[in-house]
Amino acid sequence: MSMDEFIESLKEDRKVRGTKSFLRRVIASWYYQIKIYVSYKMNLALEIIDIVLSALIYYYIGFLVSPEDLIKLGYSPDYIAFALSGIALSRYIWTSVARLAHKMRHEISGGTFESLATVDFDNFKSWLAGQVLYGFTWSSSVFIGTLLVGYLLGAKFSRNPLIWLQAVLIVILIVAVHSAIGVMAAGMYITHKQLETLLVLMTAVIEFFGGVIYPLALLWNYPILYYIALLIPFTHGLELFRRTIMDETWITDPEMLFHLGVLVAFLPLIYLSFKVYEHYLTVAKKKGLLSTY
Amino acid sequence: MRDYAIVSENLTKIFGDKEHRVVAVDHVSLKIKRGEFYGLLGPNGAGKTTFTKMLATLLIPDEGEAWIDGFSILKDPIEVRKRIGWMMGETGGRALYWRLSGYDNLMFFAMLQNVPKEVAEKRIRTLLRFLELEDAADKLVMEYSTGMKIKLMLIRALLHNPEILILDEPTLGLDVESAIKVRNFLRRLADELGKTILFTSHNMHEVEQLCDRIAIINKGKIIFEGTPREIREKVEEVKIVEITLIAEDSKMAEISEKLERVNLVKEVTSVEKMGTIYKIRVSVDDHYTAIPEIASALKDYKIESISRSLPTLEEAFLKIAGVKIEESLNNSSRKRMWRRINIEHG
Repeated sequence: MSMDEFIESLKEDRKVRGTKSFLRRVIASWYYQIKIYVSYKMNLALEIIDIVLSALIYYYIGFLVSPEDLIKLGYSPDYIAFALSGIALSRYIWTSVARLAHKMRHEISGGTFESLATVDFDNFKSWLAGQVLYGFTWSSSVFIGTLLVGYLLGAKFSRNPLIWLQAVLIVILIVAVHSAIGVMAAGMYITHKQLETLLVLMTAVIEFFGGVIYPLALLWNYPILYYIALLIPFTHGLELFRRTIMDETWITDPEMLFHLGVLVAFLPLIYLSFKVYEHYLTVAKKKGLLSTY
Repeated sequence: MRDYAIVSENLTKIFGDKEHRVVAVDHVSLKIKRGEFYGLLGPNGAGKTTFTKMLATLLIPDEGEAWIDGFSILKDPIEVRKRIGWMMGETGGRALYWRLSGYDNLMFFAMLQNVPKEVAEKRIRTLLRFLELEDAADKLVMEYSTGMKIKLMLIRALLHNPEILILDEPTLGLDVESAIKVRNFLRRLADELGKTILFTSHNMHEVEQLCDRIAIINKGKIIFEGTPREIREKVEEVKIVEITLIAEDSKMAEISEKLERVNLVKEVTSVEKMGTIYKIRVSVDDHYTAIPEIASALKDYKIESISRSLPTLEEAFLKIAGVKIEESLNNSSRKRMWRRINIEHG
């Protein structure tokens, strides 16, 4: 009988413990989030169309930009490689900064956030890490897709595997820094529901100052904008990334070290972000906002 | 403390700001023994869900403290979560991932609760079979009926083999057959596995049938605590007569007055309009002598039926709380009850 079988199954009462249990929870959050995403088949199809279309748009814009202008601003003379590397990287920013808050909206309005809170054994650290990992996976797919389409359209990226290894490490650093902003924002979102719109704006501002589709050097003529751009970590991340895959500049280059140093300086935000999230979670539990949308 | 699985001391939760202050749970103190099946009974809005959410660490109390298996909900919330299985039934399955299959929902939570995969798989399959969800295991939850979602949430609460189950209206929305099955299952969990179960409901008969002890909560306060037998004795003292009649809306005030003049009628407890038919419930001293008296007082109206009726939960609560409907509504609101009917339908 089933009940007896169930009672029997309870006798084997083992639990996964320690670091392994944390990693399992991270993987569970990541894996089932991918399953949810893949269940939206239309969405998946639209993403693929979007990748191809955005690559095509910058392919044609590339005809309007003269290679000489790019050389004057200190880049390789290939605008499509320049723009697509910016576009591909900017997906990571949306995913890192705004997606978590967007996900929180789904969890809270869907009612699943309370369920997660009843099995939260680490103040949501593993769940958040799983979500960041999922965002990284999704963005990486778009990133690779965009660069691949660009390559097929003739964009000139480096073919040196070691340069690409450096590029991957830079991307991981960029995602880590921006995910800290995302985790803080997701925490604030639990109590401040209007924050999601603000994050979309913030992402646009980051992309604008970061120089996604124009060279940062263009801002030299506008000193205030230029210095604002320098305060944003994405600016440095994008410079590191472009110089790597377009110009094959190694990280030991003094200019590259400067950008790397700025990005690394933002790393303590990761620790702070979990504290901020925990704080807002506590506020939400005091006010009864875990399932209030 | 060791003998008790759940202890709450003056647990209080207040919502809203200074101007719109709502005391949802008001200094609730309870002690639930290990292995006990404990029912928390109350009407909608009584504070049952808020109380259970505080125990499940989903809400932080404004005052008071509670301990689950000896762990403080304020100081050791993670240890508390490891020891409880929580389920809220009245969400209509909102607490599940609709774009995942039933099986995936369960496996996801089993992983979050550190249950090894092979152990989780065995438990999930067994419970899905027992609650007749095996065939739907691989379907997306969005295709499930409300009853199926409730069963799935119940399975989810059991996956990590918690010693304490906090189940908020777990049978709400289930068909009769499934509700019976779930009740029997829960009873066996308490009897055969020694699980402590805190079970909330607004169905008095369900709680009476299942629980070893019952507390009644109303307006955030515990107004009664005792055994099912003690509560039954209280309820049996409430005698209700239900009158169904056809009357014009303008006549209702007149009918009310005539009813109140009948000596054996203690008070009118509710008036409900269904089309042209009015259903009036009155509490009386004795059914058998009151029914002919009421029939005689209302002889000029088109009476469809007069019969004795079981008390509703609210009527029983008020009796247990020792409050008359008259007092609970107070005179002005009682008059408003009649006037509203006249205005709305007159």
